[in-house]
Amino acid sequence: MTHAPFVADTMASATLQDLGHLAPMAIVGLWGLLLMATDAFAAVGFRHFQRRIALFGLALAFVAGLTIYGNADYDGGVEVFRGFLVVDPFSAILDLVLVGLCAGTVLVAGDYARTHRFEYGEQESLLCIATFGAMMVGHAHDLLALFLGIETMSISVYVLVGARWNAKPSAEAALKYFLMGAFASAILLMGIALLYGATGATAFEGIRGGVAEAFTRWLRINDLARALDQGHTASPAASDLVIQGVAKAALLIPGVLLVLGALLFKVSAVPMHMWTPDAYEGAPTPVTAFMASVVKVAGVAALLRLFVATFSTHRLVTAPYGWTTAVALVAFLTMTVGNLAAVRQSNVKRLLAYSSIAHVGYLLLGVVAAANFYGEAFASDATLGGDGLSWSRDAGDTAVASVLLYIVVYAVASLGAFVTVAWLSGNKHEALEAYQWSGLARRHPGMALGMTVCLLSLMGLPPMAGFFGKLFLFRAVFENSNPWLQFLVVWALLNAVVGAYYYLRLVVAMYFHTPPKTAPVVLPGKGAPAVVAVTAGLSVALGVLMQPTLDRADLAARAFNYPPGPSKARRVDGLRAAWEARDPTPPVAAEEPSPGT
Amino acid sequence: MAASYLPALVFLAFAAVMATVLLLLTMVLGPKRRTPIKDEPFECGSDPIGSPRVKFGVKFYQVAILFLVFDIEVAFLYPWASLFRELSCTGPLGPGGVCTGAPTLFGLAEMLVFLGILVLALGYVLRKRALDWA
Repeated sequence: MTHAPFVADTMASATLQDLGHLAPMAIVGLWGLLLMATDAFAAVGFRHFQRRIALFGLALAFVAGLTIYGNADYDGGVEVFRGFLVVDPFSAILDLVLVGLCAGTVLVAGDYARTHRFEYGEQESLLCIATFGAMMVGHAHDLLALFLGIETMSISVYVLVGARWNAKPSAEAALKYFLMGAFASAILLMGIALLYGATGATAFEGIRGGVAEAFTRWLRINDLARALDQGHTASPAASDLVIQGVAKAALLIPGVLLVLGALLFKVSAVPMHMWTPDAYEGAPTPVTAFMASVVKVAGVAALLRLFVATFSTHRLVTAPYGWTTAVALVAFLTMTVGNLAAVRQSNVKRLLAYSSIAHVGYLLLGVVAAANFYGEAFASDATLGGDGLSWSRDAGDTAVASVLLYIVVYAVASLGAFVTVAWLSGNKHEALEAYQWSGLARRHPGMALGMTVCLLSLMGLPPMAGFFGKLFLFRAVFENSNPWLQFLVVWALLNAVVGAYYYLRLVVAMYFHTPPKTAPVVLPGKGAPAVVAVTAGLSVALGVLMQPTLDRADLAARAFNYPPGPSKARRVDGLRAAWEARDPTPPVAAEEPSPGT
Repeated sequence: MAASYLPALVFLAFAAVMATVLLLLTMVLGPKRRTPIKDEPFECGSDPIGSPRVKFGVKFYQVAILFLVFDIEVAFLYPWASLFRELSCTGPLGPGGVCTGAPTLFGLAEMLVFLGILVLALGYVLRKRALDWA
């Protein structure tokens, strides 16, 4: 008897096709498993190859990501696994960025662990699995996919944070991060449950429809009241509809706020930031670099995917039921507290941790602005019918693009800065106090330069990418007609000035202070210098070549709040066509006068 | 309508009778050799009397976590098993669950992927000696 032949029926071929669309993510996930297997089953001496295997897999994923990134077939967004995940230009860019950031961490993590005597074979595997989760967040098109991605990422990172078994702060950091993170996850899940209760859907498209329906029904309560005033009797069916709307909205708004709280925790916004300095300080420094880059990117991607693209219906972003007021307040607190606390830090790791909090504050402004623009577009669609205000829609896309640009630029510079900190720890102690950085430029001019470039990019000094990131972000926010948001932009600029103080203090120590008698011992291996060279190079290159970079971000964010489909593809293709038809002169940094600065 | 709940009632009654009979049988038939340790309230291997702040072996957690993972694996097998006919047929199911299309290994392959990942995890656990108590 022969076996039944494998009939390529629709489901099986669809699954394989979907995996093809998700190739970068699938490869990173597969490599996570593979590295776990090689760690457990390969001969003892084989452990030295873990890093090379991981880098090979990440390179493979990067190449796969490149084939998807340039491909116009994904312009309209391709839903995979029955709309559970989506592959579109936005996720394609994030895939490349996340794989790159993960590779940067892998290059340093092994050397660091060996020097600090806590080498373990699972490190590369856990980094790959965490990156896989972060990539899933970038692809998320369903609340459950979002939750799954965040959990896959977070649980791996909890382990990575606590992996340094021979140092107590590591365990303390892991416990704090884990307990707080578990609470945040529970809150996220509660919010998801309420949203499901209100809208009957977990897919983003279904939620968007459910939100609109709940508000429409709820607001009919005015019609009902008027009818009752005029002496009409309401039919039971009509009042039922209104009551259902009220009940749904009563679930919806707490649901939105709970999910918001959990995501703000993940990106460490004030007042959910308390864990950040301790967890960042206690974690092995390469893992801190990973948290400040990959985890932050994933958190912002979640905010964009869920809040900016899905919860941006007019009623949900404007007072009195909107979430944007709360986020604008959180942004104000986040940048103020982050910057003021960073000024007081003498410990470099804590300083960078607070600075990462401050950057989240700037990013949240962009999130608010994008959601406000989309909300306006949504409202005008409803009143004018059809395409509504295309200006608001374009402004929303631009705001999303500038948030995307900013988070990428921030993540690259942040990775470089933390990797430099990791590199300066060759004798089992990290040089964390500012005085230990004194005169570094005389002993290690290359690394000091790399660190300086990364710090200046974080600070936002003109030739670096960070300046353009801030410029475009603040400009996008300033376009908003809301005077409070415009005030917040001014406030953010003042904050950036405060930021300059603590970044420059470190630069001054490196370049102008006399070096201590004992030279700092540095990490062996070429991994850390390579990462710092690449991140510093990117921080300059993305700034000098800002126009092409911005073009790519624009393309990724074009029609961001459109559901996957032909209308989205039309808008993205339109931009791509305009972009390709443009004068092909070599692009130079676009020096445009900014209204905000 | 009410008759359709009859099997559930029979099941409940059977469970109650079974539990009572088994408990009674152990009481009557079981040998009784009492020792002070046996008379203590049972608490998973730790001393029930004393300060609650005792260190106890991290191995308990390890075993519990591993148990959870593989327990939940079984929970995932049930819905798959109940849909197995649909997953192994390219066409819709006819009356009596007969496949109208061609048979396919899709359902099996999907589950083998899932189980493969778990077997890898099990192998990892065994290899790392997480199940050795010593």
